[in-house]
Amino acid sequence: MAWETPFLELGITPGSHFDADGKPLPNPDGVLYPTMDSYLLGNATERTKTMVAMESGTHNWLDDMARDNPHFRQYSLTAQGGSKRVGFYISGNYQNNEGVMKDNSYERLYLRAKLNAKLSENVELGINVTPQYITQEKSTANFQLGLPYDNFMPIYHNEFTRFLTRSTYNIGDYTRSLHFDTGTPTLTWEQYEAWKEGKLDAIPDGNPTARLSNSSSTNPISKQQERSNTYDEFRISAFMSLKWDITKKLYFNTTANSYYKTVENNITETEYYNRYENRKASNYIRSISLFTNENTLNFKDKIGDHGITALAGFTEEITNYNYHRIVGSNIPKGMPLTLNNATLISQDGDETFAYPEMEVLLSALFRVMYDYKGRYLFSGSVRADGSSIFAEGKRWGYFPSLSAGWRLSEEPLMDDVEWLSNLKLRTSYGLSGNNSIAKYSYLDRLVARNYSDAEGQVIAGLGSQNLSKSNPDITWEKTNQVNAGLDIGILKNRVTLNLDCYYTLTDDLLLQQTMPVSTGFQSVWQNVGRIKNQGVEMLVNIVNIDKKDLYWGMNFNFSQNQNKVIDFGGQYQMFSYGKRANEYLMQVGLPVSNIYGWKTDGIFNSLEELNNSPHSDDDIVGSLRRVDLDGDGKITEADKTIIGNPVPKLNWGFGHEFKYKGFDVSLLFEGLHDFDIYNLDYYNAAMRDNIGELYKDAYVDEFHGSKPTAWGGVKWEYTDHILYDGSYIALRNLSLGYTLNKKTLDRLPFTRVRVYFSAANLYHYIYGDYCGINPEFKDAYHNSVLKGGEQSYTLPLERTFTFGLDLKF
Amino acid sequence: MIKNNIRILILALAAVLLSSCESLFEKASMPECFTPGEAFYNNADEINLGIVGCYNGLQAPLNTEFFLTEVRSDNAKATPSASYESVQMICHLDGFFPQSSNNYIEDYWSDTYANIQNINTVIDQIDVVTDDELKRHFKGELMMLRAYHYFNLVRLFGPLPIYESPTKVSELDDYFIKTRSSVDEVYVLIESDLKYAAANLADEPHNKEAGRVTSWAAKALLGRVYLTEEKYTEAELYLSDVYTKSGHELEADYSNVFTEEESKELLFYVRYAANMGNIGSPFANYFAPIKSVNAVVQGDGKGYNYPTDDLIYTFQERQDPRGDSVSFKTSFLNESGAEIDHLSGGAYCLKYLSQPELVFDAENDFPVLRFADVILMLAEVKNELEGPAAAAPYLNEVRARAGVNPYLDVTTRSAFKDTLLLERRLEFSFENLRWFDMIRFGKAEEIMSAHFGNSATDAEYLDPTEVDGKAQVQNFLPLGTDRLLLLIPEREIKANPNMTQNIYK
Repeated sequence: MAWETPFLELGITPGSHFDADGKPLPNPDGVLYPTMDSYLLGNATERTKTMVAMESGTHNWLDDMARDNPHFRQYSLTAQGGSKRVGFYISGNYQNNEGVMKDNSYERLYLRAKLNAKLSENVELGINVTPQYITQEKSTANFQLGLPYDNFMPIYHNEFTRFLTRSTYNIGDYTRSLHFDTGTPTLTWEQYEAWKEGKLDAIPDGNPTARLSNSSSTNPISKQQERSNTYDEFRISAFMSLKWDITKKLYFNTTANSYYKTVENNITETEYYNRYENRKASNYIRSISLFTNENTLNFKDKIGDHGITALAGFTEEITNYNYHRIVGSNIPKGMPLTLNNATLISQDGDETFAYPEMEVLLSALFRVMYDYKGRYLFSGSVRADGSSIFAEGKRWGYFPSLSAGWRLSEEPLMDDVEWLSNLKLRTSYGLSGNNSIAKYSYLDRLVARNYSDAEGQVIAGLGSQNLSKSNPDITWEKTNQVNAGLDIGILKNRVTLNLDCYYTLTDDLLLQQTMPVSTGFQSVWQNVGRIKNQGVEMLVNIVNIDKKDLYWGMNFNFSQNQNKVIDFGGQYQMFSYGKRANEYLMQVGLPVSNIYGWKTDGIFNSLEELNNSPHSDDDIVGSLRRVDLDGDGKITEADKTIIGNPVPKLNWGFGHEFKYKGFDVSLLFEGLHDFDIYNLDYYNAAMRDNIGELYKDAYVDEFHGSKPTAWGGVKWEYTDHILYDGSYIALRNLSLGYTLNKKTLDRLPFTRVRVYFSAANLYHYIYGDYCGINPEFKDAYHNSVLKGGEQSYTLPLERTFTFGLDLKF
Repeated sequence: MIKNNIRILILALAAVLLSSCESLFEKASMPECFTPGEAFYNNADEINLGIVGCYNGLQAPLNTEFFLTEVRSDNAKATPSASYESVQMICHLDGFFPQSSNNYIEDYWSDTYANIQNINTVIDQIDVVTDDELKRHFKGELMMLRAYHYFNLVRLFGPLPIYESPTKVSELDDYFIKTRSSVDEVYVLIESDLKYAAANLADEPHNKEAGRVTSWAAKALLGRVYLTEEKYTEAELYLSDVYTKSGHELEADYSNVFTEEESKELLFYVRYAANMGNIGSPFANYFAPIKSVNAVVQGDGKGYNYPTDDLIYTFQERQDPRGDSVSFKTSFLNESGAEIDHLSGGAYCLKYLSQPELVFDAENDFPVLRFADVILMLAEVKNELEGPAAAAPYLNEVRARAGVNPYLDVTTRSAFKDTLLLERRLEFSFENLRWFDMIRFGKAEEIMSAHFGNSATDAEYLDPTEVDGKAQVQNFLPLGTDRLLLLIPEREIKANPNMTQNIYK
């Protein structure tokens, strides 16, 4: 498939824009330099670039890097059976996916065996083992790398580029941007023709030189082909459970699970990988071992109309992490790319390291549930959690909860209401905890900070890690939640509705509070502030038709959430920073995450306009014109304001299911609304390449170009210029299937045969102004409540077509 | 009976569980690879590890210091690089219109304050050293490094927030409302730190380790501080002491200063070492011409700290041997054998060039204070106190070593001062002294205004692929005193409502 991005190179046809001397011709409207491309074609740089492109054949880096139609294959086989006392289940699953990029693949073998056995009348044993092997190659050349790379350049040097670069490079060598940087000779059309006819052996003296390319990126194809990045992953989970029925009303259950995972990542680079010509190898092993043990004592009884169940339990969870990495370089040419051939092993602690980490979570739980005639339901529970994430004395958190329900439909009064099959009101209150922060955040840590003596020996030294200040006082973040819900089922549950409203107050927020950097730290871990969340969730299921040969069902879900900062430890606001030092504002009284920056209003079209408008020292002609919000005649930090919010205000899904005889069809639509995306990819592309389609109308001079230049002025990521509304409606899934009828099956050795076709992400209706390649990307901050919405080096949304066959014996 | 047994059993079980909880938590809380901070320092050896860490902390700010000093002076300029975005911010510094969000300003500020915090942490724990002499020496080293940092900061930013003790969570609230102390208050701290260091440091570096400071380094730096404060009598006291008694001396050959390990000329310098993991110098690659591939330095150059035409011509006019091929080169041969000259981006600083095996990992140390500076500062002091006749011999001592004619035309104090400033430019190019010298001599506005004025016809600040530097620069001509200070980083301002900004008119 051709990547339909807005970034594709212009199709330039020489001769149509300029005469034989390389002077630009007026376009049909008689206007000289009407657009960026014809303006640029008039000069020697663009002329020579065009020659290179003509000699090399037009190509597109994205097409070169990406697979046309990556294939995914998946097979699974399941068997189950057993006797009265012993039951088994075995399944095997094999998956082989090609990636979007040519150097991208994924293969997985996953097995699962389950065994249940009744050891005696009152003891039951369960065993569950899942071995798994995954091997994959991850792409080295990121998808977005193709965007900012000059399309006039061929992948490899050819006769013409060798000629042009004064025979510095050999035919077949990878081209690099710097081969066409400052000092590259230019040619006239006559000289080019002469070369073609074999009449020009060398670049004539006195030809002006130019800078044809200025990208800092590496040739993406050399990246793909000369670097290998493989992952081998082994996982096994062994689970065992033992249930002992002590009496009819009381049983004891214990489970144990051991999980081990090791991932070995090998990266090798040949001398052709990039311009540094260094042969490298690295090996990185990460392993995780997890042991979980859960013990519960359960009680269940019914005395007349009173039902009671109770549970008391204790669980422990121990996780060990190990990280080992070695990076070697300067492997002599001709020697295999392995670590033992490296003549230099990096001593940089960021590259070569080995360290363990450990985390322990212990919990005790007690829960009681009571019901009267199945009509009035009550439950109460309390749990205590102890986490090694926090310091001694701060480890334990206690979390109670209470709930009550009333099944109105069970009331005798309602017996007459035939159409109502279920009506339930419920409400709950609960306190829950959050400890999901980096391990050892409570601990001041020293890291190696060495020096050296005159003999070339390392002198060991230690110093603080100066990013985040530890805080021994941090403890569980606590969320109080009040919930009210309603469940309705009518017409024998043909129509059901579940409605939930919630209101939560989160206290002692666990967050990295931004510090004045003069303290020596960027941030500090704190339990600070209070946030309110309120929202509605709704789920509706309707069976429209349910007949022997015809079925039509539909479902609709919808959720909406609003949050607000109530208090922030006595402070009014806090700024935090994204990938490009772009700002987010958290302020009392506002939603938690706000994108902060300058509003813009077009560009400065002339020096006169610039001088007569509010501006800042770094503004240049052609750059974005910012709005002077405080009206002081200057553009300053004080003119920044909230320009967007990365959190969707509303999301919903709408699905249908039809069945007619053996055929089935299902559809699912989803929508996400009113959220902002920082499209840094757009910025990257425009930065590097002034002649992309997207950049066609960039500022040239007073009369030409209306879009901002990326070559100066305010950085786009501090403004609303690259901020887009990402709202969309997606046809998430469409599937068609056919199941063989019983008559046909009788003649076959199967109990069920179904063929199907499904398509994921078939269509996106993006009605916001977003123009990138994936409005559903996950950004680096998807765990942070403070930041989000930054799209950088995003992979395109995958549209998957699946053909499948289900067979059952 | 049975009930009792069960009760005992449950209690015993609970006790076992609880104790196993605690031991599990204990095990998880102390991974062997992390050394908990403040509680770590228990003896002199451990304090020494912390001090070495503080020396390491000198490297980070130095890696951006030239952007704020040499590049802003008439010695060097921003140069185009492939990643335009980063160069844009250097151009802003070069042209005196940085924004408060400028990366280089912010990095310098945060790296310097990070090391001040490291230093404060070790000073706070210094009492675990039982040997009193060693303790005073260690404390002297730390206070000297702290003074060095504050001295750089106060000259670049003016009034500063002062931190004299380690950052503590219990004092967080104060940090969010801290105000800037006046320049005078900062100098009080610098002086008192350096006086302590001068009085308590030994004359030899600890363990004879290269790069560690001595009483002579502290005295020389104190001399520089007094000179900056125009306290000439005090300056003379310390500088003469270093000049006559320190045992430091000029290298016979100027170029040896930058190639010799542990040169006798160096009083205070920042160590870099190659192939040791993260303690190599980035300057070989930073300063080599951009896209010179491997022609100048293995792993390509970035073209930072690019010599101005003005600097190159200043050396050429005087035929000063410290210039071409010693302090800098004016051209290089690229891989296809073509010569790229200084007008096409081929010039580069030569003082920190050695061939690294890895990018940004070269060997050369960076001088902070060398004996030639002590001599020229002494000339400056003598000129102020006694006049040019008394000062000239010192100047000529440095000139003699450089192999240039002595300066004999002794007339007025102010004429001598001009000569001295020029001499310092020739002697210390690319050593991050030029900017501070121009300020100390009261010439920064004048020299820089003239520099931009002269460049009007020069391609230097006019490359159309660069930022529209020229048009911008002209807006601020003549350069006003307001723009001599850098802006306080925006992050600092945003995190603290009491932090005031330096205002550009």
